[in-house]
Amino acid sequence: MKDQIEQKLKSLNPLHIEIVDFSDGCGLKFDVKVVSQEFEGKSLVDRHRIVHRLLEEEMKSVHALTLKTLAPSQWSLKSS
Amino acid sequence: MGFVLKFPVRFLTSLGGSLKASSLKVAVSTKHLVASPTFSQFNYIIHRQFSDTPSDNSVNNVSDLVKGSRIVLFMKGNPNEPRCGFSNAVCRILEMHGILEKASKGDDPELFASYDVLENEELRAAAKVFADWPTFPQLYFDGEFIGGCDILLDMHRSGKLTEELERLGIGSALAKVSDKEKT
Repeated sequence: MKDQIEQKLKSLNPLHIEIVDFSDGCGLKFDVKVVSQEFEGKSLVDRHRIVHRLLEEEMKSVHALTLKTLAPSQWSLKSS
Repeated sequence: MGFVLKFPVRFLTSLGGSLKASSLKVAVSTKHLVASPTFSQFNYIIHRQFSDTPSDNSVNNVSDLVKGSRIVLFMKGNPNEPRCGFSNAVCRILEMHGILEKASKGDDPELFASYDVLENEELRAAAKVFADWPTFPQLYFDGEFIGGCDILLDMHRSGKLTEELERLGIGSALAKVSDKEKT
């Protein structure tokens, strides 16, 4: 499942992807961080919707998905 | 008081083969419960009937709910008994900002409402469509979708949530703390 998520997110031409699997007894859980130019100028809600659409199939079996969607400009600030 | 919720045909096809491909019409009566002073909540009694008339009114009814109070939260459980970590996180944030305390005082009965989507599958499905958001919790301010748990955490940490609550005239307990620190 983690690989499927990563594969789908590649269509965003991301500078960076981080996927952490923290699944437990409740089911599949992933923490996802994506850095992409696609997010530039978009609200957080709209950025997350972009990811939700890409992962529509996976969302059906994932119990919890937590997202960080960053534009490249934000990411460089946070990394420095 | 009653609502009629109708779901698009495409919803039904994903609900399983036992349902025929027609819209599901649900008459919902509501009664107002104050189970604890912390929040107000509506319970739904569902009277189902099937109809061959497809309709997209379901999202309109969610629209009425989100406009009924200044802050509306669709969650799993209720603020006193959250049934999921993410719903709990949002409640605790609202608590920190003083929203739940204000709601419990009851000075403004239209300040806050929470709806337990685990109690009503139709509401759960309709809220996802309305917000174009697949998960819960979902938070609204003055009828505008704000986001889910991730976004609220982000706004809380960055201070944007305090700013927004102050801007809307709802106010935030944390803003007062912040003001004190400045003096």
